[in-house]
Amino acid sequence: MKKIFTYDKYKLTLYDVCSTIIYNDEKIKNRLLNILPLEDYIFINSDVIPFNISVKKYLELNGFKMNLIPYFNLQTITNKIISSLDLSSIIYIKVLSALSSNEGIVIFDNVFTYLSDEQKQIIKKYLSENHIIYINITSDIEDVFMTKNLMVLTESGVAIEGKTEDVLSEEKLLKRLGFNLPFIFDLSLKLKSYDLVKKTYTDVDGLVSALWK
Amino acid sequence: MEIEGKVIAIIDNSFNSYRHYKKEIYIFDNLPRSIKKDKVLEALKMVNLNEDYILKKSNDLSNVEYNKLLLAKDLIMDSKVIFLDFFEKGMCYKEREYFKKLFKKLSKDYKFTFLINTNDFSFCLNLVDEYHIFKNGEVEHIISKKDIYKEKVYEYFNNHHLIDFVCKSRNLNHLHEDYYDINEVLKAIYRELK
Repeated sequence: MKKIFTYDKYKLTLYDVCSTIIYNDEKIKNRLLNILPLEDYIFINSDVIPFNISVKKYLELNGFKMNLIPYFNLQTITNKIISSLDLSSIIYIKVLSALSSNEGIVIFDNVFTYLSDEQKQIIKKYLSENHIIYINITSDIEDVFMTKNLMVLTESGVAIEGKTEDVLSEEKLLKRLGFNLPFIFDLSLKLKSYDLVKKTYTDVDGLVSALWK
Repeated sequence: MEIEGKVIAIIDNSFNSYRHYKKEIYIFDNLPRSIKKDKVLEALKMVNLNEDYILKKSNDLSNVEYNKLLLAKDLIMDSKVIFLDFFEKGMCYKEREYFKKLFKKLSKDYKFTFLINTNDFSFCLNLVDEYHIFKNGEVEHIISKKDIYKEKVYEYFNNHHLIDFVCKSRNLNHLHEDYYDINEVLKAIYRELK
């Protein structure tokens, strides 16, 4: 693992592995973004402009590889005008054009929370297949499963970091710091404490099977 | 259609969230001179901001700050119908819960109406009174919060893991009641298994 960035104030070190950073106060995230050399990364946030051009034109102008249209399930919207789309679709298109036409480490700033589950899974698959390193900065606990590593950032710095499920298992610490847990993980953690399941789960189907079958 | 004092989720696939697109403006520009500073400060306090934000331009604000400032302005102007557009995005868990309580209080005690546009069902659960499904610019269907299971309104959203879990359990002949809270689900599972 190679270090890519350190921030002494928050005792934070980023390595070239995919990680999620979750925080309990927006000011902490804003301070981090102010100090990160964003010009060294592909930085993607949720700020968008409702352009009055077609999706196809927008993608072409941004160097999108048009043979990826079926991969990203864009067939039904390529001829639509961007400003006519819902916000999730516009952000999705922004993400895709940034990913497909640039190379480097990607930083997502609260992007996945706007997307549908299907859109998130497609992007995650693309990132994995193309071995793209990304840092997912989010306040939405349900998005922590976008990466296998998780870092919890508070005013005092990095409170805990490690494998996502290991970090989430520190329920008391996370709750004390003002975080909630992803629903299925939280439910399975509680069921495990009652010896009703043997382990924690991150997906509904897994927990339902373990509990009732 | 009576909407006063309700929190309503809008479901409209053709809806454009133009409020999300920040313009280069001072949000508190054009406030009537009759509005007293105390009222402005009270509204800012209610949305967890301070008076430094009065003179900030939209483009200098994060999305969270921008949404809060828009809400503060609506409260200052006594707008009885307040539109919240992906309001909770970027907000930490504690703040989301704070604002859910605030919206419930303002709607019940002061008859404010909140129209919520979001894709996050976990934000709507235990907050929204009604779900209004639009088609071609008109309300086609209204679903009450007590019918979210029956009418499957959650299918229009993401983050409906609690409902998913209950529905999939029902397919296996378990958890036959409607649950809205993790503790209710936990108790029900415990009762069935023990």
